[in-house]
Amino acid sequence: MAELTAFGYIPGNCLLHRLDVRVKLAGLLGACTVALQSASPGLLVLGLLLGLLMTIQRLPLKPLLRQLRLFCYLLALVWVARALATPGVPLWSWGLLTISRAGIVEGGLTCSRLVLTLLAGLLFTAATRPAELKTAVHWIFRRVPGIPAERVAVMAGLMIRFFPVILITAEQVRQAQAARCIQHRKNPIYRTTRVALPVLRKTFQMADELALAMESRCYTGRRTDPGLSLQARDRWALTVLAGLLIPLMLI
Amino acid sequence: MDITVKNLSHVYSDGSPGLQNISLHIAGGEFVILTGANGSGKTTLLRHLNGLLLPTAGEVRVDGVSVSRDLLRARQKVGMVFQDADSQIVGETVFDEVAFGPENLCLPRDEVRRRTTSALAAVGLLQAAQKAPHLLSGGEKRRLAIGGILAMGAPAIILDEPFSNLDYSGVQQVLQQLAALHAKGRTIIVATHDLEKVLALADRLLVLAAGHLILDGAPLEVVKQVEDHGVREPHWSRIGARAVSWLN
Repeated sequence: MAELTAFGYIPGNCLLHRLDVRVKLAGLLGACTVALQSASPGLLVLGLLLGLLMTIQRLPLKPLLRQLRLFCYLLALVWVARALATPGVPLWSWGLLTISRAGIVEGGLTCSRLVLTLLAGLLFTAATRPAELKTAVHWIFRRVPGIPAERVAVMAGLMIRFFPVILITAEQVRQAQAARCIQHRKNPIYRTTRVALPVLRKTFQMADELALAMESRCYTGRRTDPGLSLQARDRWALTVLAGLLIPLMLI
Repeated sequence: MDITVKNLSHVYSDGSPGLQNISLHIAGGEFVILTGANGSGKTTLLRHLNGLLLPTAGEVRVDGVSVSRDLLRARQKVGMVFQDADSQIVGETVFDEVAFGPENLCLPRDEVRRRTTSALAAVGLLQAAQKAPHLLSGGEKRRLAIGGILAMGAPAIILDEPFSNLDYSGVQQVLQQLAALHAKGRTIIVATHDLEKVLALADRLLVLAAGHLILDGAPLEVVKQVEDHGVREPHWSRIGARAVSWLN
């Protein structure tokens, strides 16, 4: 449990840690919008901005990449699929399979969008306590009729709390099965189910234990929430974010 | 703060009996060890003391008030440290983890901060306040769990197998904490089958077997009979030496 996990809060006192959670949430939404709709120059600027923030936050890149290797496989798959499926001037062909120049560019662009969205999410979760996220979600939904803001907020907070734990469990199960030579079984469906079932069972068991522990400490859903107040630095951050992200959305 | 258990029985959802007609009284400030083989009902009994389980028959009273009638009050007065310290960690930092309980009581933020700081100081984790709980050692995690209970102001603390998966140093850390809390007048109830480590600190020993309370008395008297019920008698007792804990 002691290992660093992607998508988990990393305690610290850096710039993003000190910002109001609503500013961080606005920044995350802005960054995701830019990542999903901007052209290459916009993506490049966003990439530089996120890289700068990751340096300021001192996010350890190597362990993160190691833990996100499955995501890297997914990216490779997306790239190959786009390269094969996009029509254009053929670069290489073998039978029915043709890779086009436009496909490679399109695949690269799609993967960049996914990576930038992931990085924005990583930065947000690394600098935001689940309790803060819960407060922000509650603040957003409290005036929306028909939505149980308190319950939605608790679910959001617990989801963030549990994500790294599930990743750790999956890794432990994978290692336990590798120790019993599961890699010799070539059927991917067999291997996936052999990992997924114990992970699911253990996850539900942990959820049950956590619920019991929370109940024993008087958890009812109503709590002292961290106070939300926009400081001068939050206003500055909002202004800078708006100044950077809005033009990028228009590129 | 007294805990009274009267004719308590518990039947699990599959129909199997968990506890059968248990009655006992624990006075404020007592240090009680609850022992028994695996499946004897130790954890089930503990969970009745702060209302995580409710009786099929009988009653548990904390300071004269039925646990079933006021669950929040019972949980505030009787704090519980679970067997797997990792499973009860909610906070993302040591400070947040200890603050979780007071925040659930909807205390003002200043009071939450005061209680959390004081509890962290009491368990010697003030320096680690901003650390991630998962990076603590086993003994520190147990102390953190105790800190979370102290911050809620619980006069009684129950611990379920607090020495499991701990090395010698971890066991000593927990024992020191328990001895200090007992000296300050807190009620301590420890469920364990490992009497060697802690029995010397206790005022009273209870033995459960198959959901029945079989023995209840002074540790030095009861300990001679524990092997009849699937619990190992401590070495010092076997050789007739004086009682020692792992702190000695």
